[in-house]
Amino acid sequence: MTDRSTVEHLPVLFPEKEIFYRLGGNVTKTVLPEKIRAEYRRTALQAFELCRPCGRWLVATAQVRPDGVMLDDGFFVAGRDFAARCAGATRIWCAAVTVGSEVLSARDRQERVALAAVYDAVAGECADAAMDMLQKQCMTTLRRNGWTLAVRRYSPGYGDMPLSVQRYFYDRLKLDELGISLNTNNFLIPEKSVTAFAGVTEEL
Amino acid sequence: MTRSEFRHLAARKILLLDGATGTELVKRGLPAGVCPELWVAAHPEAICDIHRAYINAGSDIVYAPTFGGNRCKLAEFGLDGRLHELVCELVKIAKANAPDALVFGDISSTGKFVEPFGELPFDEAVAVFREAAQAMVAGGADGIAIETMMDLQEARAALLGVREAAPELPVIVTMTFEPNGLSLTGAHPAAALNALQALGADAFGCNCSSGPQEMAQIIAQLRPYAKIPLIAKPNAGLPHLDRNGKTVFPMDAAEFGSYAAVLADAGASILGGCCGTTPGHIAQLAEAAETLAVPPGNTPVPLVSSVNKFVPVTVTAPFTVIGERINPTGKKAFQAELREGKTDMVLDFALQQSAAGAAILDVNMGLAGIDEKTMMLRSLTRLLKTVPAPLCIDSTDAATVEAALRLYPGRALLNSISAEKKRLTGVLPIAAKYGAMLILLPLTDEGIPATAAERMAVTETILAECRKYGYSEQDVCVDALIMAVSADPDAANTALEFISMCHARGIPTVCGLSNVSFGMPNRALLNQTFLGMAMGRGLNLAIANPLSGTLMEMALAGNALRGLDPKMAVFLDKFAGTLPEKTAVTAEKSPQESLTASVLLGDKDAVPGKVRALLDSGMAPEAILNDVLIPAITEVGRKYEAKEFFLPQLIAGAEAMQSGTAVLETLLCSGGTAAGTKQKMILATVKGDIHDIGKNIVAVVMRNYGFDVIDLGKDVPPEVILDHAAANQVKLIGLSALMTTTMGAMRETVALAKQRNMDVKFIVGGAVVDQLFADEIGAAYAGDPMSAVRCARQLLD
Repeated sequence: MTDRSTVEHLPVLFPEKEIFYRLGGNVTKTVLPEKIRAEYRRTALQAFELCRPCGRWLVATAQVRPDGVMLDDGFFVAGRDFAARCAGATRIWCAAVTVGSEVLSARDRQERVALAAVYDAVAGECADAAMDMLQKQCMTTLRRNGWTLAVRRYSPGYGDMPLSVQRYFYDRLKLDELGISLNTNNFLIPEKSVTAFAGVTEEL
Repeated sequence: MTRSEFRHLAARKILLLDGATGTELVKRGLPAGVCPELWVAAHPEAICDIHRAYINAGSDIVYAPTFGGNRCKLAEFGLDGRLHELVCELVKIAKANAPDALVFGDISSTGKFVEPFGELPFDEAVAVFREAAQAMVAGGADGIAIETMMDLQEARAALLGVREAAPELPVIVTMTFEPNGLSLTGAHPAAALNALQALGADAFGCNCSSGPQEMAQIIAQLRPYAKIPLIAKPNAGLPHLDRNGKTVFPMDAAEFGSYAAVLADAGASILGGCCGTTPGHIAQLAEAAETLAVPPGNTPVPLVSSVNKFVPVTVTAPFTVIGERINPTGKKAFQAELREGKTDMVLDFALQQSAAGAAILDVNMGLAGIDEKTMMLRSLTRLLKTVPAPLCIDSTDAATVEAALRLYPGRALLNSISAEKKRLTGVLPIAAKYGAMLILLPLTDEGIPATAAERMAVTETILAECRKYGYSEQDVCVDALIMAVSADPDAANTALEFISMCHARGIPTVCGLSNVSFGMPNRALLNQTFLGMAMGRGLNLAIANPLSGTLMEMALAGNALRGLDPKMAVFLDKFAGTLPEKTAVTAEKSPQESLTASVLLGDKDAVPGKVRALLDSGMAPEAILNDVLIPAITEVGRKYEAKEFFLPQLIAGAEAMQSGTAVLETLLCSGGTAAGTKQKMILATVKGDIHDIGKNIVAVVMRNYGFDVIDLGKDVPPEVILDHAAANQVKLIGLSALMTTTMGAMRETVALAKQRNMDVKFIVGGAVVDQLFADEIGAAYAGDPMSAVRCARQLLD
């Protein structure tokens, strides 16, 4: 199974708690007067309605080496941390999600920074929730083949994986078809787009 | 096999399903990357071998190898054109090989999410599954198993599709649930059961997901609401990696079999295995099941439900308010919005009512001049994505009712079915097809019966019609038909008597509360008084305005007094600790206190007016700034650091402060009485980084703590930052970065400043930056806006 699979609309649930935490909220300590709570929730839902989470993934055969992982098309993902996380894997799951640009354009149009912060938090949490949802869907799907998709993901720009690996995701997953572009600094645009690798091990 | 035969079989014994098929096929040579359905058709001996092993182990039902046999999945291999041929052939192979067991066609996910949450149109999804089911029927399937469904809406589409293709075949449905107890798309197991059994599933349960121990907990949650058999088809425990990096399911056959009793105790009467299980596991399960009896049936609690919320509708359930506001009658602004095709107010009404405590929301789009069906669907689509409460579809139009119930991913309440011929013949069959719970309206083509006894008789007539479609008293509630006392002084008494009769008959009642007071003064008083009287007679639900605080409080008090609020927990949660009314009255705030409160509330619009009022009263600008605004923003900061405020409150407080200082600025400058010269600082997101929301937030807060912030924006090269610092004689620079890969630009900037011998200090911050990194490059570290303020003050002191 090396073909790309696309999920055009990932139906993420409104990640209300996560947004609240991302904005520094504390369940037991933070006190929101009713008026502020209503305005905050309304703003967050407006932002949520503008999120268009979609994703794409594939599973590539791979060879895990001590200093990185060699994928089936000859691309070598350097990184000892990543290789250690993929120990035992015979395949690598490559995935990308985005929430689209609409919510971010709306964020940038906000005159009040307080509201812009809420839009930003909603978009960020929706992107994370979209990646979680895509990964869980794939876990169940792949389990039928006797394959186990690792829970732990690994993304460019974190740990010892260089941001330049975004270029690989961009090309291999044809992310332009999801409306994602890559700038010269290897940032994905829209910025609330996430890519990730995870190891796939076999039962048999 | 017919549905009736299946029901009898399931009532007689614990039924055994098969175990894992996918991994068994891999063991027999199924290669990675091929279409399993095509491969099995070419290697039928593999599935025959697996099925024989499961049947020998004790399986009563085996699944045909048609898991991915739907148009969407087969299209991934370019085989969608061969769907009928392949699926039919696979069922035939399984049937021919299993004369001593039942063969169920196996249907699973398309891999796509279904509207209103996903991209696949609902009717298209139904068609995909209908087509697959037709092929299974042609192959001679004894029944159909819809399995491994991660999304309730897709499971509904599959069940509807199968029912349309095979109305008489038994259909069993199993879904997967995540460790958080919900399906991938957030469905609560009980809500999923409720929706699917109402839609005609013959058994429901859970497969894959977890090991038997965890699955027993899900089954136990389902039991109080189940009127159909429950299925448990767990994995052989939770998988882990062994030393060789292989996935291992930890539970051996004997241990797996030992859970048969646990699952049956929880309420499951159909057992099987999923990932990691083998014929050996099923044999152990079968052996254990031999000594087990089918769990006794119970009287299920009737529910209306959304994807993840459910509300019991019984005579013994707590009184519940159905929010009435999403109804254009008498609301001009709402009518105008609907005529423009917009639904913003629908969402507003829903959020307000949910926040006020309405457990169910009535949705009525009946307005002359609009397309009711289109607006109903548009409203539902919006509400389903944002509001968890179950919905009550309120329409008399059959096409609108059908479209709404078809899309609705739960068991809706339908308002309403009367004894009018048009409703009984036009709407009731539609409601039955989708399993909606009904509000019965005891009126006939001749009009409204005058007495309670006559209304009861009409109710019995409607119930008799409903029974023909499979409904019972458990699936309905009755509208008490409250009429205006202004037109008929005895209207309230008649309604109360009717509520009593229904209560005695064991049928829940509902009413449109505000009807009683129509045409009268002080309607709220009449409504509330009548509510108290009706609750005393046993009224269970009211379609009312939950924004009336008194009404909602009466509902809580009524439930507490009638023993419908166990341990009065809801009442105490709401009211314990509330101050007695006379001590709760607060003294009027002084203008200074009022300004402080506005800053704390982040009320940017109110602050300038309050500042001007203080100026008009003769307070000096310096005093307003130093004695009111600065202490207020300091309190905002303190609350943020104590986590009493979250970030939007901190920013809103800062923005409110800014709107106040803007009023004072010219006065302070022109009078030469500025509270002190502002300290300059530069803020920038470093080169290569495009994330600037964090930096913008820090800028707003810093400005309100007296700093003159020069914001250079994002992706700013080191030399540009330092050139600006030199040109503006700035001694403090704040740098932000979100990515590990752009943190290097912070190091470069600090190093370049040293190289240029500049007398500047740096604060760094951002998601990936920490104290260690800051120390390493010779900068101070700030983890949030308030620590940036504190840090800046220390550095510049």
